[in-house]
Amino acid sequence: MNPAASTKLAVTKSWLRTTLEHDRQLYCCLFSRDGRFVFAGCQDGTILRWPLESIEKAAAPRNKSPKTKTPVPRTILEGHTTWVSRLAITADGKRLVSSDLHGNLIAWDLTAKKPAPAWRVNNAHPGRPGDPGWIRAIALTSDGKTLISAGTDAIIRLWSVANGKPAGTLDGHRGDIFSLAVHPDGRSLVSGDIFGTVNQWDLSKRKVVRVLDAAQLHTRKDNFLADVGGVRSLAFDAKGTRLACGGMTDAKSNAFCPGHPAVLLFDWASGKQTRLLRMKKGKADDGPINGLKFLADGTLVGQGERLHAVCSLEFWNPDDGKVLHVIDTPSGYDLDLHPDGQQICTPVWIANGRSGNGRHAKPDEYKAHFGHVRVYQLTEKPAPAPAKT
Amino acid sequence: MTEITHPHACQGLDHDLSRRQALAILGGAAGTGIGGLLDPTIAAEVKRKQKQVLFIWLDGAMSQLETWDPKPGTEFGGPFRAIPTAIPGVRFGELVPATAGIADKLTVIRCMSTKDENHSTGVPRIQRGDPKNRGVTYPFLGSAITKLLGPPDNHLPPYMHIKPGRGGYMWKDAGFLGPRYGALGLGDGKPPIHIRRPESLNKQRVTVRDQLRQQANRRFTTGRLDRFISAYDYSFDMARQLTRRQDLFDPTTLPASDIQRYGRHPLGRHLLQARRLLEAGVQFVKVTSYHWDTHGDNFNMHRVMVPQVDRPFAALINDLETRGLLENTLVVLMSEFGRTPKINSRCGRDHWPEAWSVMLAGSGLKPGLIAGSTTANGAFCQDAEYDIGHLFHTIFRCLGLDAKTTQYVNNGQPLPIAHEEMDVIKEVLA
Repeated sequence: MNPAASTKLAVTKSWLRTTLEHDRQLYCCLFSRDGRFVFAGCQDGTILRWPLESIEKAAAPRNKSPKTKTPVPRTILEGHTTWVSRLAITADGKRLVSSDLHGNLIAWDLTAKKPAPAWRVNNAHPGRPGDPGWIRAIALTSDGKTLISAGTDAIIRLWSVANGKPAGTLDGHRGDIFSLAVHPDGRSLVSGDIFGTVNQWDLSKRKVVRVLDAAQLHTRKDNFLADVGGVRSLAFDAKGTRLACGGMTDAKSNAFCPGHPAVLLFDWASGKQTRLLRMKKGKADDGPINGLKFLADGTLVGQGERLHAVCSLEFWNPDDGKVLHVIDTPSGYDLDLHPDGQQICTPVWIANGRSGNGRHAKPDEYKAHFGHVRVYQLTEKPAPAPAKT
Repeated sequence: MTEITHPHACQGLDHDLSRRQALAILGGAAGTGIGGLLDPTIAAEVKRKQKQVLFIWLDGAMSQLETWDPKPGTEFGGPFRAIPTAIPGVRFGELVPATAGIADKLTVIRCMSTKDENHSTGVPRIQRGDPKNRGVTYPFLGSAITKLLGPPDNHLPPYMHIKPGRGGYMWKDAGFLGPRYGALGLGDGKPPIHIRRPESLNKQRVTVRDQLRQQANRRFTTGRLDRFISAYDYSFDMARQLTRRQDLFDPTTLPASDIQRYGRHPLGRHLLQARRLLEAGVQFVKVTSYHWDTHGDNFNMHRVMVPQVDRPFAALINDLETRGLLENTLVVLMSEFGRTPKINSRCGRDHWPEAWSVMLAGSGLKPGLIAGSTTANGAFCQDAEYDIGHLFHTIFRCLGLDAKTTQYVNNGQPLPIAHEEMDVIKEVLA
């Protein structure tokens, strides 16, 4: 699938394989099940699809200067009305589901040359008056038949992937839900909320069977106007023996929302927290862990916010909690693992002129920031092919 | 000594007109028609003295794009929708449904364009009206108003500031007017500590103690001319007056329905307390809320924080109107600037003085009016731009003061009460 990759994971030798550019900020990303495409959800309500084969041709022309860029052809999926918040793909790879911050769900038929909506549900998470009804997280059951969505209404909702019909609700959180993950055994779902409550649901009985305590990821001080933090990301390892909960601890205010990025590792069998993982010291950390994935060898990769619009991708050995490797990236909001297990993608923020305080721009110079998808290869970079004589 | 001696200014003697005197004149005029008997100057003074101000300060800066000037679907609009308001064709952000429902009672200026992009300098600059530098420290709005209108005769501190955290006497607000015009800070809306007389002290002992205090004060001030000493005395008197109005701070007398309508969060409680103070006749009530500086996680934070303004603000406007107070009360809701249209790397918005909104209601204003506009993406003002000096002129005019003809005199130095190169925002005036 990826001719550039060696077959052995070597995260310490990871390299930036390609960058996919867009002129608006991106919020989430996903590889297709066959590994041929990268999808990204955008703040402008579009979903972009880039074919990876084209990237290989466009991004690495041997006889051109690295600064010379060939545009990568892409497909634009239109249907959302605001920021696309999350993406998920069924196990058979035939259907992409996307959510947005207006509470809309769209299922896309990926068998078509240009994917088109198979169904959509508008206002799937209606909140109280004045509540925008955001969807922050979606997941698919292992059999691919049920879509699970959650957001600001604190209720988990189930939908038929085939037709978008409601298939039930799971009611057990007190506040906003940020993250969802289905256990590899297919029987359990976990959901994480603003208060650091992680509910384990029995999907057949549709009830909470256990609550894991990740309250360390929530901060509310007396002078705060809002709760800060929450369980922003969740991931199981391949065997389902570990659960990782990402977020941040010790938020200092509800304005800048600065805190210390953190991953709480739980032993799934006992439900006990076994480790608190921190990012490598040496740079000021600043915000939550926004994406988490376990690699096939058990390494955990997470993306945490640093000061000054940068993130770092951190690779931990969950057995001893040590950081194996760090890759600096611009600020990123999501993370996905390629089906070959050897690439990760992240949607990152790229400045387009100054962003910060002030009266410093002319109207025609004041433009929205960019969004790129960065694809990192987690194996040793192949030696360049010898030049033909 | 600060005084106002401009020919058209409020003269010191004007402020000696008591409510009793005014009522006597009004009583005498009854039956023959007030207009024929009441001197127009006195009539204006009486009218001015009835004026009150509620100044709501969201420190750090609320986003105009998430509230009063939404631009959904544009590159800077953020994820929130816009909703219709009680003004046909005008939309607010979806986080303010209660305020949208009473928009016909409100006046919004959408084209504020100010100079300062920093909190440390911007907050005082905005709250002082940013006049030209005259080598003096100008008073904050509350101090200015209480000086210019003169205190009402209700034995209550004219300038009270409800704020999170600690209270106390905030003399620095007064600038060159002198500490007497400072604010009485009410930490978390509560009265100054020790407002209640300990049971072990009977009234007689309190009186004796006070006489002793006054005697010591007189002795200390002999031969000294210190504005601070008189200010301490003044603030003590104010606090003593408050001991007679402990009812204003008694939470048990608040109807449960009011507590529910305003909310139990700090802004809800503080705005409900502000209503009680306004009902009691406090001339200038300031309510401050901190932590609006959403450089990070702007949208998650605004989603939770803006409703804490929306519901109690709408409840308060309705209550003031129902009680017949809105006509003579000017309500101002603002921050030191707006927030950047550009969304930063932390999904936050930074400081943006270039184009932002101020919410007004009540005395002297045209209700149901939106003044000015911004470009399609909300980044810049379109056509008219108003600085804080324009807003100060307008606020003063709404209270019956003409900032073009009224000035302070500080140690013989005449000083304009608002930026002399600016004027009222005529379109918002009734």
